[in-house]
Amino acid sequence: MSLLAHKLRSFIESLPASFLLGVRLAASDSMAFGAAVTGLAVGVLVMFVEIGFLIAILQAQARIATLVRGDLIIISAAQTSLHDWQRFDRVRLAQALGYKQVEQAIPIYESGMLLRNPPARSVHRVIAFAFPADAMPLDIGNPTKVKEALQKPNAILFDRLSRPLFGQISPGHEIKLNNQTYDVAGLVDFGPDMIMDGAVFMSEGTWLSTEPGARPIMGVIRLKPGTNITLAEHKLRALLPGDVTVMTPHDAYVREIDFTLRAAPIGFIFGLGAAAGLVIGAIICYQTLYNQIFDCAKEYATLRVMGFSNSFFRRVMIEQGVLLALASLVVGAIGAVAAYWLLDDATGMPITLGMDILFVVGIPTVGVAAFAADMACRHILTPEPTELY
Amino acid sequence: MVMVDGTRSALVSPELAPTAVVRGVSYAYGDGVNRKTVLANVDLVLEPGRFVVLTGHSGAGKTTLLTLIGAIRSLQNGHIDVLGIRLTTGAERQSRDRRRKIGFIFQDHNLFGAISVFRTLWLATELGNMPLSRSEAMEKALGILTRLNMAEHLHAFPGELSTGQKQRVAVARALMNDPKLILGDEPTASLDHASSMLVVNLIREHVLRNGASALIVTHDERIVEFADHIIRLEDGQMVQHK
Repeated sequence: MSLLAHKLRSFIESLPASFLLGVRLAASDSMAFGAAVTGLAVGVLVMFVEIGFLIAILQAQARIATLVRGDLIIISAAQTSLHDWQRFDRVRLAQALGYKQVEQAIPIYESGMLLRNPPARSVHRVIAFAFPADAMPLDIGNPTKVKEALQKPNAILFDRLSRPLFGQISPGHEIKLNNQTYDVAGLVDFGPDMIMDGAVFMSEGTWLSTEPGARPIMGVIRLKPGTNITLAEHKLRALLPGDVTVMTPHDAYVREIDFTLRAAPIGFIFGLGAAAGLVIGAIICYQTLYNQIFDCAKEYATLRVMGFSNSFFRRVMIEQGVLLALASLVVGAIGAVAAYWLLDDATGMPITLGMDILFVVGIPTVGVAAFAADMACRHILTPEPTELY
Repeated sequence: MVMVDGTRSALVSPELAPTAVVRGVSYAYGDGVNRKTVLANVDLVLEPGRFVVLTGHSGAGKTTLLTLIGAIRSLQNGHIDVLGIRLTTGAERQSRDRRRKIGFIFQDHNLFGAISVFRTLWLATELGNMPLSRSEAMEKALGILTRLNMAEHLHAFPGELSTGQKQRVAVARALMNDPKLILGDEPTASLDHASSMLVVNLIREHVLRNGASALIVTHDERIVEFADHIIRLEDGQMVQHK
């Protein structure tokens, strides 16, 4: 303990006098600092909301790729996105089984349907999936329970994360899909996206009973243990005709996000919103630091007269800017948690304030604050010291 | 030319070079018909160990001369050597390096309210040849503050001090790096008699012990009587009185 205390004392002793001088200056006027942090936090909150919502939309659009329980997927070569329901011939899955390293090739059917919940007396469009009950190609719940539920005749599983507009739907209820009655056999977790408000799942058998010639929209490939996935992907591509393509679920996820950003202007719209927040933050940060320089013009001028270097003043100002940015990030993040909760409640698309969003918002915020501080510092460095008196 | 090299103290070696040499320096403000010359062909040599007072009526150019010697203001004519190096117009880095070796005391204390007395003094040592550690700076600061009757305020913040106390902190700050040249602009204007005497005695002692020079602009008669030399600026020219 005494050794630690000694080392701590030695460390403190070794710190220069100017260590965190900017932080001391910024934090000295708590009223001004609090006002500046509040202002900057508004800009940060705008960024958190814009970026968070963008990420939530992108993740929702690509969700199915993240839920795949398999090594590879097969989709139609004409399919541009996971929501572009281009079907392919089921025989392609049988052909995929011709590659000796393929253990399973599971079809997934997907289509939009009209869901009528009698108690709610309303009809809403829902996305319907189907797959072999015993194969469970999507991670939407407990495989055993899903299997048991879907093996019941005419059973569907309802997505409990669906938007509330469908009304109360729970196991034991009857609902109508495209005017056919189904029994709700259980609830699973999937979630709505930008277009669809909810989802239902049924077995392949139930699906084919209403549409005997249905063709799948996706095939999930499970490889034998120890198989090189990249090699298998190439082999399957070579093996299968050109009307389908093979990729890993991760590649499908990346492709979907890329497509969404390119095809829809949401990237630009939310990016513009986030940039507006950044600009607001930069202006507030600059104005705060400019005011601080204005208030302490003689003090800074005296330090210049004494011979402190330009880099010293830059460091002091950037410290102040970074402190403002970090404090604003904390306040903005607290606001963002509340905003995300409201957005989740309203849209059913959960947004988690993860490290990805913190970095996406935090790095530009700190960078812009440092830039604003450097710009403000010119008011110290540009005039001759005598002009400041 | 005014030569300020009278009787030296026994503490000061006669071989020491002048701390500042001013030759043919003129300075004017404004342009055209508004041009006003405040310094005209001024010559001045500051010898080590001297406590020199610069007086003159308001607007006579005292502060202008002080800022020129202190490399705060760019020269227009003539040249100035400070601590053996000639100041060059427009060389900001050189000017800054020169200023680091000078102890400046201004009429206003100009202390940051957020920085304690100790940290203010310690910060000044970052400009010295060898920055002091915390404990070294503490010892030195305490020594100077004790001489200024300010030791108990070592960890105080400017907001807790009177104007006179703040000014004494500013004086201590100017002395932290043992400067060879001290330039003061009305440093005792806000001090009572007792505090003024503490400041003057401390600066005089520093000058003698370190072979330094002090050039103090003042109207304070209490200081004038302690000066080794008194120089008066009249119509942009220098006149030695003592």
